[in-house]
Amino acid sequence: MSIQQPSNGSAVPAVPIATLAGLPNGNRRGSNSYFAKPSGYISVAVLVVFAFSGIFGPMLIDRPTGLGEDILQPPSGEHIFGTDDLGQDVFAQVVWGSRVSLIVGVVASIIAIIIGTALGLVGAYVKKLDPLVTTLTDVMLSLPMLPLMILVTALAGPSVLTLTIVIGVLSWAEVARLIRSNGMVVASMPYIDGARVLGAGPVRIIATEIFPAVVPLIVVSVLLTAARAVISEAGLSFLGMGDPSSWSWGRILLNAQRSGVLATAWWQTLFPSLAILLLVLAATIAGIRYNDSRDPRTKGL
Amino acid sequence: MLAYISKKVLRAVLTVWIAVTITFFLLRLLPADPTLLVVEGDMTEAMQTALREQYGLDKPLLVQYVLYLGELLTGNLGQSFRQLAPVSEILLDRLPWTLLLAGSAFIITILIGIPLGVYAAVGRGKFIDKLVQVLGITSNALFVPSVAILFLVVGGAMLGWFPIGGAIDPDTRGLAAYASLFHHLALPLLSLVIVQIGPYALTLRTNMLEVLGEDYIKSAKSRGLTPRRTIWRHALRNAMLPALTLMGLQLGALIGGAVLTETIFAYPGVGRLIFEAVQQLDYPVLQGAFVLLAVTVVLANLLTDMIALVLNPRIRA
Amino acid sequence: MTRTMINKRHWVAAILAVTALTITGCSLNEGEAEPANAEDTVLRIGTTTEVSNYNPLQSLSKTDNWVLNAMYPHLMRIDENAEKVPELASEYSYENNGATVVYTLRDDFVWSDGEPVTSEDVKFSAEAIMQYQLGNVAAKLTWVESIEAPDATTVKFHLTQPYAPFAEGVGFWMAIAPEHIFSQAGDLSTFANDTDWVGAGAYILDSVTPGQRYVMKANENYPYAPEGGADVETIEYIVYPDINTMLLALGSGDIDLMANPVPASAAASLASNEDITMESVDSLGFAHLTYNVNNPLLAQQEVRQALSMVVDTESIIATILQGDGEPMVGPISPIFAEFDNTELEAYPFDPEAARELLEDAGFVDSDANGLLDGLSIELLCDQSNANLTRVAEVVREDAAEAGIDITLACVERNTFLSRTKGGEYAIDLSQWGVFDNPMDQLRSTYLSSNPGGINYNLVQDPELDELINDAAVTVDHDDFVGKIKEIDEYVHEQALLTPLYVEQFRFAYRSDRFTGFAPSPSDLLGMVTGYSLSQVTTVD
Repeated sequence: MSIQQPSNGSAVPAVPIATLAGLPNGNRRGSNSYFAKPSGYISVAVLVVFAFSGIFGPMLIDRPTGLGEDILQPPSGEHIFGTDDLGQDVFAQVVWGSRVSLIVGVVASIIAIIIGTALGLVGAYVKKLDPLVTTLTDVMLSLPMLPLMILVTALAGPSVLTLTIVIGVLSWAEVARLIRSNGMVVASMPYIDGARVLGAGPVRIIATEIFPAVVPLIVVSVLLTAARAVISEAGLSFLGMGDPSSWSWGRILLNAQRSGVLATAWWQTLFPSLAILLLVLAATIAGIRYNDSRDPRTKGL
Repeated sequence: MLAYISKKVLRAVLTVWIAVTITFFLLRLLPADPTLLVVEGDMTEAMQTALREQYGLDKPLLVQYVLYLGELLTGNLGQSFRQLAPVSEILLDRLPWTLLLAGSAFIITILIGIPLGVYAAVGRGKFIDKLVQVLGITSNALFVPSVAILFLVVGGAMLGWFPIGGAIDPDTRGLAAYASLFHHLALPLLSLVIVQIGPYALTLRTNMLEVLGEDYIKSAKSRGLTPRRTIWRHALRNAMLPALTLMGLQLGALIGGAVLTETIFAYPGVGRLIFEAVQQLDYPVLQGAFVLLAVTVVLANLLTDMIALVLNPRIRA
Repeated sequence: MTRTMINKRHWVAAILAVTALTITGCSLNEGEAEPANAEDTVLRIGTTTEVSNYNPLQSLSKTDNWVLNAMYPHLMRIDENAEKVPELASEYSYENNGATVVYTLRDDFVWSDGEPVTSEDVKFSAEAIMQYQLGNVAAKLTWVESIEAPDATTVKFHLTQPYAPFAEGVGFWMAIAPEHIFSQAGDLSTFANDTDWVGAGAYILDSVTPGQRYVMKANENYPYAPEGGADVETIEYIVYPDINTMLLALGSGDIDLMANPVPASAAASLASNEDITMESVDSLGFAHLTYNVNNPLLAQQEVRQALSMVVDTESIIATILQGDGEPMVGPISPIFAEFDNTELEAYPFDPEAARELLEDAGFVDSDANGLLDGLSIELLCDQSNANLTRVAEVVREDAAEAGIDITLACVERNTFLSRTKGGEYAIDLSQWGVFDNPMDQLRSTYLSSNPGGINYNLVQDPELDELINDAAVTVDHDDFVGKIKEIDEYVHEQALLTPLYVEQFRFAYRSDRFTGFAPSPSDLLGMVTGYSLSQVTTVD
């Protein structure tokens, strides 16, 4: 079922989240169960490792602090990711940073999903409000987000809380667009009319009929939006807009840049960069695999 | 068709107005006092008050807002706090570099991304498709500063193949100037293209797959048109429409990438200006830069909408 | 119709490309310098930010100063020994019991448009600063009643009261602008001075490419240039917003000198490059913990002394500065060797003794959690100074051993400045930039009337006021020195501050191309004063 309506002026373009959520499975036959392909369990395994390190890592590894004796040491048995210009262990920084990345990623994604789903469903079913929702969504999508996030973070003062809210509140537009377009397909189905005839109010129809139909898409969106949020957080922290009192992957990169050791202490940039890449990749692939494994009959909705 | 155009233009104006309003109120609420920034200790209260009056910071917020909107309409973006120059002048000095960087990244991304998407869709399930998907998803997961730092350190510092910082060598003329321009542009451009190309290729692939499944393509095939002609003329044309809109919208992300890239490569565009202005709390420059970028993106969106109009007569109905 | 599809795509791409290139191309040709003469010796200097203000009477920014200092002469400059030595003024003297300051000017300074530099320029510059209250020099001119220019090489400042450091303070800080240009410019508080520059210093700004570079040409008439003119004919300041990229550019030879100091952490990587030499330069300021005496805990001298005993300056200098710093005792930096009271003894680093001191003062740990009851203090610091945020963490850990609970508030720089200005802190951890003389420093930082606005202790101590005011009007030099030392000791015993270190800056340059810099102390001056650059010679 196509959601593209090229003949309509307000055609719904595929935005990246929708694109990724809609990546069709190459394998048309046979089992589509989530773990049918290695990418399924590998991505989940990676996510579990990151979740573990974010939740338990800081309990097992001391917070990187103070002044160490071994400055700018390359990776070794003692410091597997090496040390920075103050002799702090980069591995400990990456572990502590994973906590912030996960918190910001998950919470910001939930904020974005709640706003985006609510607006998307309203737009899909309430015809009068649809132009408003569509316009608002388009406006949000057109604004250059990173500069806007920089401004708002500067306003509120950098902290994990600020970053989470700013990223969450500014990331809902793609979700709203995806939910709205798919919700509209559901809304136009005969059984919705039937429900209306039977006397169901709009709130009830949205809650009991349309919402359940888009739940699988929401699950995918959570993963993909979280991946985006992790990148946004790292970007803001790298620009010096991060929380000064907590570790974050962007901040490790920023420290390396500020202390002028990018070219020499490669370990200080490589490992946090790899962490970002792995986490975002795993979340994206997990989202795609989940989408693939859904019942083909609801796919595309 | 007129209705279509006026709707698009109205939406563009609305977007710009919202951008202007958001930024105005956000920036005026920043906690720190800008007059502190010009102080290295020895400034009296009287001097600070005079400075605030000079910048209009003593007036009520709404008055400042109305004044600001009025000035905007005449193209006046105000005076920089930090530099004794009009904001519009500061921005226009920087804008060409961002246009060049983002514009060429946009074009190259499309020129490479579209064939990749098409080949992946046509060779669905085959090696090329899997390769494009893997590369696309990886590209989508890359962190711009990581990529930029890698290129800067390897291509600039270690190999010495590319200059570090700047946009052009001032002592060059004519062809040599253009050579120098591209020499400086290469690394920032490459960084941006690599992180942008994934979403473009994947989107085009998805759209192509849908179009390829539609009836008129099947009938084109049955009419005996060559597969090549079917794919590149008929299918791509229809797949391009939603892709075009996406590409317009992706410009916002491209600009975000440019802020990071320009900062790392010391490339003198608007993105780097934003980074500097935040550190200096230069409200008018921040406002102006954001408004300018929003206008740029909106205009680019309008342009893509108009191109869609040219490509697809059905919209004109 | 369908066959045009591909062509249209190319067409769109071409239009976009042409638009971008045309716009860029236009800007290439506009506002650009004449190509440098191929024969010219060009020295390229990395700087971190744009020149924000070209008006030398007004600008307060360090990075602006690097460019403007070379272009506009000052009456005096600071030499490598931190001494004020003649620049435009050949000498100064006091008359009328110290209430009149007389500068005698050299007669061989010439503005780059051919006009001679005269006493009228000095008079005009000072009067403009006073009229429009420009920059930080306005505060230094507070006591000026009138200015007189009896002849072309003599300027007299009449003060309402004698003030010993006036001549050197104003002599060093005040830039001299060309009267014949600036008097035509209207309101000098808004005069941008951003084109057609006329200067009389070693190098004159020639062209600016915003966001990229500032090109300066040597001034043939600069009196301090070596015989036959400066070796370096063109100076190019190139903007690198982050220090890391600038370091890479120095390593690859894209620039020849960094105006910014090299971070201690990066020094090792440059040291291995034999084409690069690092010059060590003193500081004119210092890092410190300053205690807000309006805080009930910090109002107690014992608490301040105990805090001074939990700061391990030795380790801080060894690790955070990698040894590139000097410890100091009392508020007077060892840079002012003559005034530094060397008999003062630093508070020892001894958390145990600090705890005893506090317990003797009546603090108890009733819940035996290791922390003394009610002894919780917030420390405010500037997030942008990486060294100091590290210091904050170390101090917090050591203070806990002495039973003091320190909470950190290392905030973004602007918030920091705003809170500092508003007195919203208990302990303020920061770094002074430039104090050019001890008297101005003590007046600004400890007088109750807070004339400079940087009395961060918010101290209102009549005894201290009297000591300072008395020293300020002392004209006899030896008496003056003695009184400064006395204040140094008084403040040290009061423990109003815990000085941390005087940072030793390192400036790096391509010694395979240039040599002969004459650096002055501080990162405000460093290697890039006009005088220093005019002494540079090329290496074959």
